[in-house]
Amino acid sequence: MKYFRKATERGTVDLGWLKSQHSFSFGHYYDPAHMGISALRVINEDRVQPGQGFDTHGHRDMEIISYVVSGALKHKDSQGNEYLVPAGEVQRMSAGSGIMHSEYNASDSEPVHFLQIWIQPKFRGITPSYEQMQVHQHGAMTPLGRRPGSRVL
Amino acid sequence: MSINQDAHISRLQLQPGEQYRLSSSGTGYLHLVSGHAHSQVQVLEAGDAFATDKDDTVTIYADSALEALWFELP
Repeated sequence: MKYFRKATERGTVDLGWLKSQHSFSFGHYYDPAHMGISALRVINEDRVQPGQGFDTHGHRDMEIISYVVSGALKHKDSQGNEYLVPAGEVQRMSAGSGIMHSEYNASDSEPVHFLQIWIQPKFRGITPSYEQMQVHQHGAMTPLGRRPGSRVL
Repeated sequence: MSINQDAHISRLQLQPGEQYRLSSSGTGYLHLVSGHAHSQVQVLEAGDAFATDKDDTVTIYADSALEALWFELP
């Protein structure tokens, strides 16, 4: 074990509508000891109040994965994708050459709790794309995602 | 789900008393989403995480029902 990250020592943000804990440096939280691990750059544990969310903003060249723990997210992007992402589902947006999106709590009464994960891409400038799926658990360890054609690590 | 990186993401779910042996031929990273666990050297609460080096082996023991994300990274 070469690195241990205690949950209570993560960077924290409290904007009222958003409570977030950053495993790695993100936004105004900067700690050179926590800049990510390999290609894993961001894990933010976000809790967004009902009806609130992140207004339209842009990304490029990042694999952005949302894993909804409870509640549901409402996603809309410049590629025409507009979907609800309920608890237990996982969403991947490849920002590639550039994408705009918004993410809101889909509920007017319940908070949404999710992890947003950023992975640095292998190839830059790809066509932006979107994928969402529910993955049923098979056994203790169940694959959620990998690069097509990549060998099993 | 496809990822534009030589990375695998998996979901680990264990029941109380179960254990799982983690190993990766690259860098590994485990983020505990919910529950309680311990390894040979650490107690893990929800939100805790750790990384492993190539070919390291770590066994996770579930002290409650737990869910975690396991990243195998280049």
